[in-house]
Amino acid sequence: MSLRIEPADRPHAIRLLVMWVILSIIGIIAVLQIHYPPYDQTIQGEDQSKTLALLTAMATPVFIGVVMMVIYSAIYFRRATAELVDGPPMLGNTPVQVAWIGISAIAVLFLAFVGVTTLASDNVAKLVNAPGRSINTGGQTGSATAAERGKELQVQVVAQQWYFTYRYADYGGVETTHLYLPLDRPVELHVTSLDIIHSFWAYELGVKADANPGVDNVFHVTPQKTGSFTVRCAELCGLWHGQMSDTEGKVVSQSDFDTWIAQQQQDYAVIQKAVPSYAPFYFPEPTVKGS
Amino acid sequence: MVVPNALSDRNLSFPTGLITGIVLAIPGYFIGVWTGNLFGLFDDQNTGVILGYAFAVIGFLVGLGFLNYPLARLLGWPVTAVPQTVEERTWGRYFSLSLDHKVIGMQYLVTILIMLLFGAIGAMLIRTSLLVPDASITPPGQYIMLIGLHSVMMIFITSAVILGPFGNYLVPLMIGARRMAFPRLEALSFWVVPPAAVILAAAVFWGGFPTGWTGYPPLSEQAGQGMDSYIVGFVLIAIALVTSGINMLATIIAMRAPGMTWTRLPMFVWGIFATAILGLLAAPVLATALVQLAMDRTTNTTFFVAANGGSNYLWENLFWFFGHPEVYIFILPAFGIIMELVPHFARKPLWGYRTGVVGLFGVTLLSWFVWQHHLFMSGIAPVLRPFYMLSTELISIPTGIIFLVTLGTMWRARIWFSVPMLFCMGFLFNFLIGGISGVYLSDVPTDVTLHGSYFSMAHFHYTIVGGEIFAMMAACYYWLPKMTGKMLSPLIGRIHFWWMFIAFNSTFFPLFLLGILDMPRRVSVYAANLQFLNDWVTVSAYLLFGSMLLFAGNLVYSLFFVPGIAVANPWHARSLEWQVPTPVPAGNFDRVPLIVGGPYDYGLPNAKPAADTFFFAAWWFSFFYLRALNNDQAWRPQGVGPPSLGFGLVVLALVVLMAGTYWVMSRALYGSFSFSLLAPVSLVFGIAACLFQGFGMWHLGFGLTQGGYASVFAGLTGAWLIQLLGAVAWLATVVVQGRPSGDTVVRPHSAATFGWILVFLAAVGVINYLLLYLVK
Ligand code: HEM
Ligand SMILES: [Cu+2]
Ligand SMILES: [Cu+2]
Repeated sequence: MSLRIEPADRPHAIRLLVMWVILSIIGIIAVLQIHYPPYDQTIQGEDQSKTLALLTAMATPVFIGVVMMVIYSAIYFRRATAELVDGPPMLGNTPVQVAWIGISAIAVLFLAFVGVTTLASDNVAKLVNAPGRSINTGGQTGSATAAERGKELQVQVVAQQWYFTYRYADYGGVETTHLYLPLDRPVELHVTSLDIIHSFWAYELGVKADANPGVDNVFHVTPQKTGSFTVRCAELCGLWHGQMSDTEGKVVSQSDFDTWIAQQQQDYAVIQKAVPSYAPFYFPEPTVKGS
Repeated sequence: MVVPNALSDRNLSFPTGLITGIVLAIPGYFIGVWTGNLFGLFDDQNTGVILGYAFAVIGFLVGLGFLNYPLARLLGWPVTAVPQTVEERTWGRYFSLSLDHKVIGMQYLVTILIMLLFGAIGAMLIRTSLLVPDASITPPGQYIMLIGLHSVMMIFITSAVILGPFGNYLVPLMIGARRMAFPRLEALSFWVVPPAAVILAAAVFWGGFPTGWTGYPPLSEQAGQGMDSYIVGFVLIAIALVTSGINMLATIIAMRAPGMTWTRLPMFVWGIFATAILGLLAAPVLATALVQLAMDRTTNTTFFVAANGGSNYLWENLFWFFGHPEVYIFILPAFGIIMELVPHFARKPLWGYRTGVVGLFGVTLLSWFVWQHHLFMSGIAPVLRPFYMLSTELISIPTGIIFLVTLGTMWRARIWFSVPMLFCMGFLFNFLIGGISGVYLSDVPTDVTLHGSYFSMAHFHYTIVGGEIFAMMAACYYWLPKMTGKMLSPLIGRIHFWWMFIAFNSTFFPLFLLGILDMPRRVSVYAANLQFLNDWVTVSAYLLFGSMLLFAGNLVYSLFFVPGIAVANPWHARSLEWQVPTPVPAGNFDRVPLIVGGPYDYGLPNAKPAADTFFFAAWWFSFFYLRALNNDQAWRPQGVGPPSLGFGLVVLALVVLMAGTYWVMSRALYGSFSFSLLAPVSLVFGIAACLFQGFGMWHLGFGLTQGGYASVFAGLTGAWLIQLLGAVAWLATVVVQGRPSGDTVVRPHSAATFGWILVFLAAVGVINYLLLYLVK
């Protein structure tokens, strides 16, 4: 099963190979110049933009190779004569096929490996590794262990038609209308919904988590730069889905955060009494449609 | 052939046809609404609307003449299993129930193109609204209505756009058959599509539905009556997928001309074969989910109500377990077309035929194991994310094979750059981008940003429009000369290709950027800094629409302004479908070796249990899923439980006896053809089982709203009971006639098939009993 290249193939093969290598190198260098979202406001976001860059760098030679083949065929393998002529009856070439499949398998496995390790890495594991579970199973919040909990700021994202509110468990469950996060402190986000499915998307934070009724969906994030971020809903949730956004999310220093949260506790003290006490999830009453 | 025991030579005399169909559909609707409002639990009319649509469809199909044949059999009137194909070239045949696969193919093509026009108009309105970053052009209510109508209409179309017209028309021609295996099923698979489109459009009268094509509850339970259009329309499409799946599989397996061995099968037929497997097995799962949604909306069950023993995750799992194979239902026929056409225009054999087939089936197989890549951010089973990431990325390997085979075929070829070939090349470019973007989406860390954003919109438009629709265009330019007898103008074709190719890429490529730049899907309001890109896209979309109009113009031009009939084989292709004259004669081939045997029966083919297994499996899955997800109280509150162990056992025993007696009888049929007393006995058992079961359900002793168990109990037993009733009805016809229906050739076969179906239903009953009565 040795790779056999017919003499007639050789000029085409060499030409293509040389062009492919050159163009791919240029292409890879070019795409690596791009600054990929979601940028670096959080550790997780930074991991994601690196993954995006890696994927693009890997996709570039594939894209260039196939497009080059298509264009090359269109130029060099087009029929020159007016009448129809049949091409050489080539039925296949096992080594080439095996090589193609082998190479694509390696590329894919490499990608999956990178994906899994990024997921499992200290940073992103925290982002998506913690299980979100239905609370009905008996109060498991899917959150970190008790020891870790002290370290991570607990923030609950409560979605409903058509806005998000945030409850800070460590601050008496105070409910706010904007999300503020302290710098350099790991945050454990508990995303839940009061009515239907929404999706909490904080673009710059590199977080997206569906808000399901009756479910505590846990994601982790660690801000590493101050600044503001945008929150949007990323799951169609009815009439005002498009308007379900907030541009006033902020990552602030720990001291600014402390002043802010104290202010919130004060401002919302009255409302706080009417709000149900902090829980992993809430079911509005009545629970049954039509009853 | 003499039909020995024809009891009478009477015939059905009431006129059937499109007009009768419409005439019956209208009262059907009102009767349905009336019944629904009489028995419906709520004042919100959902029961009425759903029943109205259902009755209208039944009325329509009856009016078309779908009942004639079964009725004639029931009454013992003479029937022709499949009417002899007569040379008939009237326009009328396109507007009536025809069993000619060529007519059905054309009916499909025209219907789909009309639907495509409406879907595209929807898209233009959506894009128009996005000219401005606020909701000033369309108010939000109208915007989400447009999203829903456009997306679902397009999904209906793309499920069938190649399978329906080209699959039905060409598969028999390509394998050397005179017809399909089940022409009535084939006709049914078409005639449910126009009602599906009309019912979907009817959602407009209720203000549309707010969920897009994914129909996620609880939003879809909150939605108004427009949602019922979604449910019934999608059920009809599921029926179309299952029936054409059964039909295509049977045809390709059983009806190939002698010598048409598996290794000689055209690639297009392989593509259809793989698609048929997916359709047959995936659509029943959708049907289950839709039934559950309909039950939640009408009878107040709680399948998807988290507060009450249900979970919206159940829908998400069932929907995407169907939904992912569904997207390959879109693309596999396109793969088939590309690998079919390229050799003809490269004037070379397909490079790596077997590898190509392996590629198709690799995709088919893998597509069952990836559905949760749509749910990476949903919070469902986060620990499984690496698995779905890997399985999704693995699909790139068989997909890459398709590229390898086509590129290899073009290698050192003498490519003839006809219009179809141009579209094939366009496909390669577009689908390459679509596939690569799929890998971005399957990588969990990047999917965090890309999921639910315009990036995923760009991805699936690249795969569907850039892939499937480009392949469909190639197919039109390639095969229409055979199907309509008119060559499309190559000049307009070339302009069309370049126009469409450029406009397509200019429309959809910027969507990748929009997604990466923080624009979620399905919004009518977006950040002001994205307006330029959006306007660019909108203008390009108009141009894309223009290219479609050009195509329509080309169609009209070729049909009405080009004199004469295209030559039989304009492409000098070697494949079988080009060897028949144009127009294709009624029987397709002059001298095809007769294909002997094969089931002629309507509605009871062997593949049914396969589809049904997936239907019930989805229910069993629902049982375990909701049971695992909820605590005991939410799953099955105190006092909620099956009638009694013994009661269930009695019903089950009756069904087992029914199946057993019938099965023994049907075996006996094979040897000596003697009808025994066993059929009436079996019928009695069947009726008793239905009565018992119906009684049990009437006196449940608990409400359907009482937790997940109650919902599953009602749905699962209900579905089983309905199938039992169908079986009893069939048995009744057997008994009434005193013999299994049909002519002598078919009789043993269909009788045996039915025996197996009863055995299958009994087996389902056993599993249901285990789950509902013992596991609880
Ligand atoms: C190389 C093969 C492919 C891969 C790896 C792939 C991967 C994916 C992934 C991971 C998603 C989920 C995106 C998200 O919501 O975050 C997705 C969505 C989607 N894909 Fe693909 N895909 C592939 C091919 C196709 C094909 C061939 C089609 C259709 C012809 C298709 C149609 C869709 C559709 C319609 C969606 C969006 C569904 C929705 O959310 O409404 N994909 N794809
Ligand atoms: Cu939303
Ligand atoms: Cu998928």
